[in-house]
Amino acid sequence: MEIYVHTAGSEEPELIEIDGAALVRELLVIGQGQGAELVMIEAVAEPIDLDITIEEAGIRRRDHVHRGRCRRIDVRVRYNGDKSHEFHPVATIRKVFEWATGSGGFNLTPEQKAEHVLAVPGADHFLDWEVRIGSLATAGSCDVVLDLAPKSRFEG
Amino acid sequence: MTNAVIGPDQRALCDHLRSARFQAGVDAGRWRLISITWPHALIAISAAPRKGAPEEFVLRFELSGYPASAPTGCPWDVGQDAILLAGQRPKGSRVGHIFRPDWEGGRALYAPWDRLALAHGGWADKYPMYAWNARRDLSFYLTNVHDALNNDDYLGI
Repeated sequence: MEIYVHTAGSEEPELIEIDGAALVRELLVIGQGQGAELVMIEAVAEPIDLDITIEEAGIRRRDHVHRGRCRRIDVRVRYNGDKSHEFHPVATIRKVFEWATGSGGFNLTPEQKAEHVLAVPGADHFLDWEVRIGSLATAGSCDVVLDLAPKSRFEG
Repeated sequence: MTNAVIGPDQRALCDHLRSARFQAGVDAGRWRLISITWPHALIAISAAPRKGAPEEFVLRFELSGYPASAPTGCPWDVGQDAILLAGQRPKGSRVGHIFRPDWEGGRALYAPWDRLALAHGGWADKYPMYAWNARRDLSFYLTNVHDALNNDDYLGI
């Protein structure tokens, strides 16, 4: 079956073909594994046992899984100051944005919220809502820094 | 879609349509491919629910030279096989401006990810986070449109 594999250090997922009877640990090395040591899914807080099968782990066709080295990602968002929060690696940018713009973050009004988006500092694009936060962790780190930036209105 | 006797632009599009990024958008219900009649492709992009408004809007893409050349997307009425009328276009501060019918006859989106609009002098430098370049792919275009159609300031039609 096909599953989406999100890997630390690679913003884009891979769509990987794997047998449901294969062990979860095979996910560490298939495709561009980049030295991943653990596999996580959104429904479970802790890493999956590497010695059970994909099916036993409850992973279904075209589910999203994360592989990397971090059990949690410490996210620091910059806006008017800094706010930090810990996330599961499979958490989407949408989820991070909701926290960053909510009462635990910078407490934006609905109008302000509609005009902002998250980006990796120095990147040439804003982050897609479906990017998994764990995929933004770089080698040797479980920390991610993001900017809460305004959207543009195009005028020519 | 086969790879028989097709140009590099069509091949690049075929490769992208099979990519994880595009397929994840399909699986999440964010967009769907309706048809390809090269160099055109019809793709529907879902919109946030609004009273009296459609669940999705269709763009008729012209993809010659993809990805070196940016796609251009024309808001499209599939039933009429014609450009989408002004009264049927999404409204709202930001998305309404992107789908504006009063620029170039409404035949392209007013945004720097679109080929026609990118021809504006300086837009690539003025809006680098949104501007098309050869490293982008069609999902970059679709993601930006989907975001506009699902933002809180989208009001329906």
